Amino acid sequence: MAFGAFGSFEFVRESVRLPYVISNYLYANSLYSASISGDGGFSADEVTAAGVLPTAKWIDNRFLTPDDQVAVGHEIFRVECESCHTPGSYRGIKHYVALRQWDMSKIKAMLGGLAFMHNGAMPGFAGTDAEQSALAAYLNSFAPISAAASAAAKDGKTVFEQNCSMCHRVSAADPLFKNLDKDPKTASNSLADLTSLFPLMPDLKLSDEQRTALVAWINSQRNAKGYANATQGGN
Amino acid sequence: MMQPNLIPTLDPNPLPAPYWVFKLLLIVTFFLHIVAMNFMLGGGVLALVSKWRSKNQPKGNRVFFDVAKKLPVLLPATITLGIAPLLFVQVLYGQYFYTSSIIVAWPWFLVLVFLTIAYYGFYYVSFQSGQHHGRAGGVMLFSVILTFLIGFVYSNNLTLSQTPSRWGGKYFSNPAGWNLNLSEPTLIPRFLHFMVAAVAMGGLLLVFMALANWKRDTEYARQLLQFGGKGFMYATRAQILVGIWFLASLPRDMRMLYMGDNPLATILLLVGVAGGIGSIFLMSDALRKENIRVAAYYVPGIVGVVILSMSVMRDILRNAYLKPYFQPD
Repeated sequence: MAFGAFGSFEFVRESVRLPYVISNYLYANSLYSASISGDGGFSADEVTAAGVLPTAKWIDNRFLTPDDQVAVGHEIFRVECESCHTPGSYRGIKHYVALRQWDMSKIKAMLGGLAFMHNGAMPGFAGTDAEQSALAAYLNSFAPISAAASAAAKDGKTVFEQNCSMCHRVSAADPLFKNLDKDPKTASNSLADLTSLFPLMPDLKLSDEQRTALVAWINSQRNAKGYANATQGGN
Repeated sequence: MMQPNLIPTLDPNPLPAPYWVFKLLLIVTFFLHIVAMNFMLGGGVLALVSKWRSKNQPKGNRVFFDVAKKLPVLLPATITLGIAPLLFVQVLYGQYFYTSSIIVAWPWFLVLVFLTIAYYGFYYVSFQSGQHHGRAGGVMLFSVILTFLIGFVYSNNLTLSQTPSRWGGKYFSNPAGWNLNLSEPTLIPRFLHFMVAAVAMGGLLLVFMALANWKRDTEYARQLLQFGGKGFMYATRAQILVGIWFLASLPRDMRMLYMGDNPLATILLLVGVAGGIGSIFLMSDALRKENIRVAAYYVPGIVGVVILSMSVMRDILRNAYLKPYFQPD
């Protein structure tokens, strides 16, 4: 019982600090949140500009070729994600990807929005576009989801859970629920190009059918009892 | 691929106090930790020897259980006094020590498991007594072996922390942390140097127990004095051989630090060797004359100086190992 009590205390203590270990200074993956003198190039912005592979010290494979995307992606995962995630079990990516049926392109798109997910508990991905693709290739390698399976959801609730729920909550205060046009047709069209709505959204391509179902479900939630105070989702 | 530089970048924030403050605290708290550890581990070993040599007769058992009752105090004392030097070593040498700890992560974690089990074992034995003491001897042996293993993991981690050139090979062949530093030539003599010292200090623990019993139960106190004093002498004699082995296993330029290249290191080594040999003679004389004052005051006084000079020598050695990478101040 003492182990359990201390374990949960420590777990909460670490969790409330996320995405930082030192607030507004050092991220949980040991990158500095802003460049400071003497940081050795290990701020998130510098790593994004220079790339993980040339910057990180503990990397064996510094060159990215089309053949070793997965292996290099694994190394990037090791240095950038593994302080909080294991591939398969603890906060396992395999589980998240399977749950949300993300194919490789969707994983890559979602990696661009890490900082917005889960109430901002994660630092954003730091690295070049090619490195982001390699990481996506690695994360997709556990149990690859086909593009068809990834686009198969027809039910509006499922579409929301698979594509939106990591950043958006079912709440009158949430930007999606607040700003989405009331008219189903206009709303559905507006969701065709997400980056035009907000440049930091992943560039997801939902089918017409999926968008229609999603809008219908969102409207049904808006009309549901207790919507104004509801805060479900968000995880 | 060759790794150009694996040593983590230091946080640009400076130390919150002068370097020498941490260094002094590191050496002082390490000294206290090692004394507590020695009493605990050496006491456990000599308790087992006493029980085994007396073939389970009451005389040997009494020593065994008297020492066993002290272990549940000495073990947490070791841990508590160990936390301080652990923190100071992280402050001063974090970029080396953290890194090697990650490379040997699983054995390093196992230290906690071993420690917990050994602790339960010591408690179990301390609650047994008299005729029906069940498996006390076996449990004690098991706990003592676990504490030896903990020391072995520490020797692995700390030698690895001083040799960054080995990091890449170990890490990239097993990034999951199942590594030790078995290829290090100083590993075994260094480990034995600490463990044999622990047995000698265990002997002094028994001498202190003799002092405490001197007026109340002289016969028993004499038995403790003789047994503990002999344990101290045998272990310290063995230590001279182990020490020579350790010195010989060091890379040449580091060995030479203690043989003239570094005057302080050389003097400290001479103090250590002279103190060790002198304490053997002094203890031998004290045992012959049954002079508890010499055995319980003078010998530990000399040994204290020896341990302190060894602690400083250890620090000089670490700085020598890290010299290519790290020159503070």
